[in-house]
Amino acid sequence: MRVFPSVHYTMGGLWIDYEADASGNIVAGSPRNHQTNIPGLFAAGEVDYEYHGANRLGANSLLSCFYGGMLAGPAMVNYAKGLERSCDAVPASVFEAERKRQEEAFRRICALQGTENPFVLHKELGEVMTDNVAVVRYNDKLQAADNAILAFMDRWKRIDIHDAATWANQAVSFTRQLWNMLELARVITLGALRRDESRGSHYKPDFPERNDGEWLKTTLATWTPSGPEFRYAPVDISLLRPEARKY
Amino acid sequence: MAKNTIELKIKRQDGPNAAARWEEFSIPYKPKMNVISALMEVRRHPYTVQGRKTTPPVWDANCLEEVCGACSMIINGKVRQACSALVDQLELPIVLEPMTKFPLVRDLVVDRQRMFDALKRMHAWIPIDGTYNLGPGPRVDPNTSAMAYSLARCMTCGCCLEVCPQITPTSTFIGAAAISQVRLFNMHPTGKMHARERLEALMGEGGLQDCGNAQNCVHACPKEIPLTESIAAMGRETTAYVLKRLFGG
Amino acid sequence: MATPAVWQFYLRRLHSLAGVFPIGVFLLEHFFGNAFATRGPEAYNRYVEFLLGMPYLPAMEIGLVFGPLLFHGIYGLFITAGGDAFHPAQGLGTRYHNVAYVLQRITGIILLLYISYHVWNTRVQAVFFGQHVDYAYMARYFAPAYEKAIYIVGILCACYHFAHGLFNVAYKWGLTVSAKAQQSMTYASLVVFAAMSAVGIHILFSFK
Ligand SMILES: Cc1cc2nc3c(=O)[nH]c(=O)nc-3n(C[C@H](O)[C@H](O)[C@H](O)COP(=O)(O)OP(=O)(O)OC[C@H]3O[C@@H](n4cnc5c(N)ncnc54)[C@H](O)[C@@H]3O)c2cc1C
Ligand code: HEM
Ligand code: SF4
Ligand code: SF4
Ligand code: FES
Repeated sequence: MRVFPSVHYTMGGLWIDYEADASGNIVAGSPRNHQTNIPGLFAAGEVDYEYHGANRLGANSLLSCFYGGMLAGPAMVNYAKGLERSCDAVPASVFEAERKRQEEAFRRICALQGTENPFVLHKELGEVMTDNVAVVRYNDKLQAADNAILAFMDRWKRIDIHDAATWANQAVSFTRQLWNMLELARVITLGALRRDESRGSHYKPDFPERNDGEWLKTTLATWTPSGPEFRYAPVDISLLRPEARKY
Repeated sequence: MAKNTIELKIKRQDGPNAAARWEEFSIPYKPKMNVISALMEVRRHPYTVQGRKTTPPVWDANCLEEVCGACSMIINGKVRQACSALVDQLELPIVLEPMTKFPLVRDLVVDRQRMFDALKRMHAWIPIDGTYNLGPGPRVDPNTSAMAYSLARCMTCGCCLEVCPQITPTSTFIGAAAISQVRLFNMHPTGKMHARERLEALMGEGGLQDCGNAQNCVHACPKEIPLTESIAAMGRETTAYVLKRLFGG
Repeated sequence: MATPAVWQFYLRRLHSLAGVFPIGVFLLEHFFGNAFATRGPEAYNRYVEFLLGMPYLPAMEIGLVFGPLLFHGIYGLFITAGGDAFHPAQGLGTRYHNVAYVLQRITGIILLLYISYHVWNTRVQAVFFGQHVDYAYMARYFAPAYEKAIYIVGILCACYHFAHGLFNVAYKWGLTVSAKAQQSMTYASLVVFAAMSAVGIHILFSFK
């Protein structure tokens, strides 16, 4: 069997909130815990950005999954209890409008009649990311990768879907996910391009040292129609001072 | 002997009620391919050998290391996982068909829901969730834990059901996998607390009694789970349970 | 949680039990008794008289033989219908236990026909038509080659069905759990099959 190093964890993920008390400890049960910036949408597990920073220590993913789940569960219950209206009170037209929007998105993909094959695009994207945005990173290669992703996004619009089935259509759902992958690939690539230091699994031979003075902060990317917008947030080190990692 | 191409023959069916058809594909040979990477190659160039453009074949896969069971299909007349079926070891053309004992979704994808329903009915889990610390779990001797490990490798892939004569589209038989899981959870020191509940479920409709002793299951299981030993062991456990209920206790 | 209906389980175990006791035990007795034919007409006729002179004979015949046989046989048809012996077993169809699964069902159906035929020509003739069934009658009856052929098939089916049934019982009731025990039981059942077949056919050819 062919053995190849592959991704087994995504550091970074959806931004989530938490509530800390005066001493910096988390307030269990707070509806803010694990809530994303979309009100009422909670995230726990590998999807959230919390806990691991620039590198996840071995075997700690399941730990954070459990911990995140233990916080998110009560948070969701308390959030729901605190609501003035339940979803029954939301007019049906809201759901209907969303259904229309999703069906429209599906139809748009079904109508793609260009020349590109989505599975080929996906393979090329993987190759670009593996070659340029793995652990060892150079700014020129990161820039080249972003240019390549932009070119993929252009080609995505010229996909030939060739499967208009409304039942078990993997080509359409794959193509839909592929667009999200492209968006996310840009976030990872541009975030890495900006961070001129080395930290965790982000290693730039041109900037080999960890630079806490400038970069002890979390990268926050916000979706905009013209690509990700970056901001930075401080890392909460009120309870634990960072140390050099020596293994 | 240098192969240049790999020929695949795939049974296609657009949906549960559509007619089945065969399509043949030829893809460039690369060393060390598996059936999934061959299928991936097909969908990157979805043209039959006759040069006719077709929809990308639909299949399921997830872990790619034979632990999730999603990619089970019939490969050259044998039911197994596509991800661990190495092209270099297969006769050409590689003939791919969906499993026959489960409702077809599309092409090579079937719906294994009946297996998950069976696990639910069999109470195939150990309820330890709670709001307080239960303390350290009981100790398990090495023999039991070795046996438990071998039973725990089940990935609900469906191979054992596919080859079982007692599994038909209309039968309610739960199949060897779920029977074996009852054994697993009933041998766990904490799981034992619900042993009665599981045995009752196992003796319910489509339960243990519907096994017809054909013993195909054990030969089809890719995880080499001793299924026929599990079935006999549950036969023994139910016998003991019934006698105990009849004659006191 | 509602208790699931377990009657199917009990019915299936009853079917299994009936195969050994009383049906299997009767089969052994039937072979043993008829083996007096190998000792000549007098020995055989004495055995028949002993049988006919047994107390509670009708009750035993109905309660221990025909009743259980009818139950086992008819429920056996339902069991057969519940599976698909000729399904595509994906390459495993020729394995011994799958063949045995198929044979258990085919021999069961043949037995249903054969036993009816056998009972019609022996017990029914005696009870309802006043035929005196003794050595001479049986020897006359077995004389044509086709009759012998039918009985050879019937005897082989009964012996295989019973012998492999013993394996099934051991498996189903959990007497043999380890793969090794099951393997030994498989061999043992084949030995039972061979031995009983030999005896059965020997008896058949003893009626001269
Ligand atoms: C090869 C490998 C080895 C690993 N080894 C370890 C280890 O040894 N120790 C360790 O701690 N961690 C390990 N990890 C990491 C760890 O396994 C994962 O981080 C963890 O399992 C993630 O759990 P999760 O519940 O957050 O997400 P997942 O387990 O990924 O669950 C997400 C679920 O969401 C479902 N889903 C996705 N999209 C939708 C949708 N649109 N609608 C509905 N459902 C959806 C998916 O089907 C899936 O069930 C490993 C990971 C890999 C890949
Ligand atoms: C000489 C008469 C018969 C004897 C001695 C006999 C004996 C047995 C035995 C011992 C078994 C094993 C039970 C088990 O599976 O646990 C069995 C099974 C079976 N018998 Fe019979 N049987 C006889 C007649 C019949 C007849 C007439 C039928 C009708 C079709 C039949 C159908 C079956 C079937 C289908 C099984 C398999 C049951 C299962 O797999 O659960 N048998 N029999
Ligand atoms: S017992 Fe084996 S064949 Fe059956 S579902 Fe589990 S892993 Fe698959
Ligand atoms: S022993 Fe035979 S009948 Fe029983 S579960 Fe296995 S394959 Fe099916
Ligand atoms: S993809 Fe999981 S078993 Fe093949």
